[in-house]
Amino acid sequence: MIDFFINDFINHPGIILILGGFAILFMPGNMRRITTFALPLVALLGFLAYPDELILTVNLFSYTLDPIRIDGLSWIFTLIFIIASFITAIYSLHKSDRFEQSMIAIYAGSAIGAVLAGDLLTLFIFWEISALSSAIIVWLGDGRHAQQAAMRYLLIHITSGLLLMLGSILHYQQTNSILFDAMSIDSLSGLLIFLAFGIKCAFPLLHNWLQDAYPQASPVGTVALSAFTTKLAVYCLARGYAGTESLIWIGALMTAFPIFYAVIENDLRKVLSYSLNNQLGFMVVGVGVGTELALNGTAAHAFAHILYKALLFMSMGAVLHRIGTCKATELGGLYKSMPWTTIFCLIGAMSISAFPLMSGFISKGIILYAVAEEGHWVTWLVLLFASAGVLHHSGIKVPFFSFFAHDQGLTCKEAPLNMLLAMGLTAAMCILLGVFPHVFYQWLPYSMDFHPYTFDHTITQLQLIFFSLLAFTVLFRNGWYPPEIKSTNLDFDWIYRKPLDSFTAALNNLFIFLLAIVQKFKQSSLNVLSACAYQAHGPKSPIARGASVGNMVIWVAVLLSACLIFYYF
Amino acid sequence: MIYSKKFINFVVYTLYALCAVLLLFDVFHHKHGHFNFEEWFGFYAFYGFIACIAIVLSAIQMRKILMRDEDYYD
Repeated sequence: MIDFFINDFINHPGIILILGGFAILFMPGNMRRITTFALPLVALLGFLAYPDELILTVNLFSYTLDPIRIDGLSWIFTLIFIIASFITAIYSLHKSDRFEQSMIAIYAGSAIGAVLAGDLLTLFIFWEISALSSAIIVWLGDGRHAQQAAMRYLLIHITSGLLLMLGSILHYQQTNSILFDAMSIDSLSGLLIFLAFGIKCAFPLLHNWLQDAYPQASPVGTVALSAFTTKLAVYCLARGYAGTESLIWIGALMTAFPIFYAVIENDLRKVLSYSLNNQLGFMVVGVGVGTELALNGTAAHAFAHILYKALLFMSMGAVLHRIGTCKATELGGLYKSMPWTTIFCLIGAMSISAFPLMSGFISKGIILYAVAEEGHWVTWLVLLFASAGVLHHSGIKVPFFSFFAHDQGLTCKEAPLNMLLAMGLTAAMCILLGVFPHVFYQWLPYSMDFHPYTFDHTITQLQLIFFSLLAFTVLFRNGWYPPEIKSTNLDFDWIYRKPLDSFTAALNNLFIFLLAIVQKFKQSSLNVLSACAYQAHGPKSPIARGASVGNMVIWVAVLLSACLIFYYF
Repeated sequence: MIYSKKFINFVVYTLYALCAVLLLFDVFHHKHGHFNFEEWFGFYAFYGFIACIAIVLSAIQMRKILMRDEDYYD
């Protein structure tokens, strides 16, 4: 039995990363660097040693668990998670932050463990480890704001975990199975689990933890955060809720509304967080459509998106590392000091904007095609609108305001070598995916016949991109483009950071007031009681009024005399 | 170098020219899309252009309602 366990779990990439992450905590400087770098590679070797299809079943008490399930869908998500952890590891090598490097490895490992989980119990355990480790990564960011954001982040993710647990228990009661397969939102258990996934996937109105926490983490922390949590949620939705129609609408909404916020946001890492939210929308729509082509699109887009989003966050992280800020109002003209970072950022920007020959073009195209195949024309128009929008804020705004725009006279050194290597590697992958899509398509869960480089697709996409660029140019040259302003823009988190906060503060005050009244009442009733007791039993009370010994003697004498008189007669 | 007026004008006019060329494709090439409207002349071009203008103009209006000081939550 033990042999059986060890043989199957020794290759588990998630467990390798989690155990390695704990070991990193206790290692001295250089050994820690080497381990941080080597861990994802060991995890990759372990993963590749597994067969392409595998279900490991374990009976624990009366439960049947599948702690490892590898199939087309979990394979590609595990692969990209290992790649993302490798990139992040390289990106983190310039600094020697014991806790952060350790937590990132544990976080990546738990996300992989959750993807490989074939049952809800295993999923829940890894779900919670990932919530806790990622909250610590946010906490390790810069100062008080990061810590406050980490607490809000943790509260929201614990809520997600509780919903998952509650849903799983109900699911077990109804079906007598805790295996994680297709579910329905028509049952309460299905709905609860759907909501748990929805929180992690940053559904509209449940999304603010993302824009709140990600920009607060360190440059390295944000790169790690951007890769795992939300894509894990996308995977879980694809696994459990493929073809759920409401996801089409939810996803379409997700692609559209963050764009407006991204345009007026000043903190460029927050702009990227809004754009992350918008990209998730495309994947969610793919899950909602639910055909094999659409699910392939979701998997491909998640893969491509993790790479270009990490690349964009890495380039902004490098700017933050060198300049100390990521605010558009304080940046500009950095291309002179950081030419390589500029080039890598532009490659990330072109990828997210879906330029032909870049990764976004060959992944987003599948989703749009699948949506059109099913005849969802309104959704298709929304996605096209969002594609133009994403070009606008991530494709133009982020590189333009940091590296070009107005020369602020900033000078600094180019990013550290390890950061450049991580960015270079990621940029190369973004281009390779775009240039050789058919090699990449073979890794997708289902076989499909999709050709991204048709004449129509290429030309129409170029038209969309260049006319969006034209719109930006016209607006900017005429002074109609909104200037960057140092500001906070109210989003849904306002509800729980202001009115709900005031409400709980008021509730707290009410409790304090009521408690004071109760205390007062208790005190005054005690006072009355003790006054009564004092009156009855105090030194001057009738009861306490003691008869003197003399009186007693007289009365005894009187009684005895009376007895004597009685006997005499 | 890139801040010289000459260079900026060069970039901008190249962009105008590219847009014009891309629009020309719609004159000579008949597109095949899933939806009828995809086949309209310049559909993608105008849709992208108008979408971006609309996003920016409505974002400016959003600022009037949603913008607060940087330390609003402190």
